[in-house]
Amino acid sequence: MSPARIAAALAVVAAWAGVTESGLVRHRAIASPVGLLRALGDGVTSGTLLLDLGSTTARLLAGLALGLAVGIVAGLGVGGSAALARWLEAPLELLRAIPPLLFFPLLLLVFGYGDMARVAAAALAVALVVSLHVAAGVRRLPQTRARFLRALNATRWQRVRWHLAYELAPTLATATQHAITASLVVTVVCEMLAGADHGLGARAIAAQVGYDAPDMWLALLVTGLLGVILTRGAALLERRVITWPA
Amino acid sequence: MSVCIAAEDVTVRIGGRTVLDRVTLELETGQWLALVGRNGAGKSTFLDVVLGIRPADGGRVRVNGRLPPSSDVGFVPQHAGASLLPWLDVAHNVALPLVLRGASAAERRRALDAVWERVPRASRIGRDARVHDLSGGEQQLVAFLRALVTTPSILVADEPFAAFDTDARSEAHAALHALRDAGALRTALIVTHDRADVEALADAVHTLRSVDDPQTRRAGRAA
Repeated sequence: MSPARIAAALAVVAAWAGVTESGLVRHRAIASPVGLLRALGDGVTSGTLLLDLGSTTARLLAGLALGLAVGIVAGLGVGGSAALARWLEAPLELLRAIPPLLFFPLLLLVFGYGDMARVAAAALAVALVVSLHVAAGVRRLPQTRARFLRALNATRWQRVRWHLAYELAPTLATATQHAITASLVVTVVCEMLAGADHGLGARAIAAQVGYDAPDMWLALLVTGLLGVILTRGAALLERRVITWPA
Repeated sequence: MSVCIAAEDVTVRIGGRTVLDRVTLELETGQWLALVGRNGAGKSTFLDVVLGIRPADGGRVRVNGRLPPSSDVGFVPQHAGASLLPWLDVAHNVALPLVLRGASAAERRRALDAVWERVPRASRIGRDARVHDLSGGEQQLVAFLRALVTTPSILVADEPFAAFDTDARSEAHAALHALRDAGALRTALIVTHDRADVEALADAVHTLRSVDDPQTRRAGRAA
């Protein structure tokens, strides 16, 4: 980060501290930087922040992994088979039009009030995003390389290993970055909705009930940072792995 | 002289349209045959049948007496540069046909050394170079190296010089002649649109006519 940007960020924090600590702006929903730091210290020393962060991250990643697996398989099927695409076009369009969070009550009935329903909701959101990307990627596959591998009498597995996996890697990387955001949103909201014991969503709701603005702001900040770290990590991995012009 | 590729009454229909209608062709060992014809005449489709990518709806094809696909064939596709795998370096692209056949690392190394030695100009290309950093002509050469790495008895090339200017084309012709003279390339079936390719490379020419071609229709009526 450049010195100018650091200076600008410090100026914003100083102004924020100035208006909140001086009493110029008072509202129960507004926390001061000092209050936020105190909430951070309390959260770290009590261990609750790490527990909430760990719970949300675990649910998010489980939903992401499950959703990626389902989304890739569904995307390959729909993108690779015109007949399957014709059959599934209308149901998938309907499924995509429904906000994934709306399935959460249904998933609670199926899986009960546990983590499985939250993970399933996140996985559903991820699968819808990923399947759309993968299906489009399969339809756009350059035919020259595919034809050449068929000419070499490559087996189906060899075509996946040496061609399809690489050809779809850039599409999958983009889809994964979108899916991380989708999984984070659904996971946190599901933690808010159905009384999760731990998690950043549960922490935000508990802070709201207790009129604890600093802790609410802390939950917001940590959730945002988690999203940024995961999407940036995925982007970094993409740059490391995909070294050819896509 | 024995026949390498024997196609007899090959018919292919795609989407209800007849693309190849009873095509008969023979390629003899040691012969370089140019397959010419207008756009849409079915040249690439015919190669697909010879390579075993697409089954024929009628007739039959034998490559060295067997049904395709055949491991005796090296293939240089149209738009050869686009057929290279950009996630692999030059050596891995060239060795790919060997990898797919399950060759060991030592076998692949020996085959790479041999093909780099056999093919003139190959030394200009670094084995660890990235294919997308190469010029069009160099990518074409890599595609030829890849086709030759298995020491096939037949080379099948689909418009291999389509993107070349006159000078590059002449240079490529000279390189192929050098390969033929060195005994590295005995038999070839080359699809081309260009008269210069035919004159420079071919011992014989086979013209493929579209089913819709007026001459084909006249021939059909006469028969």
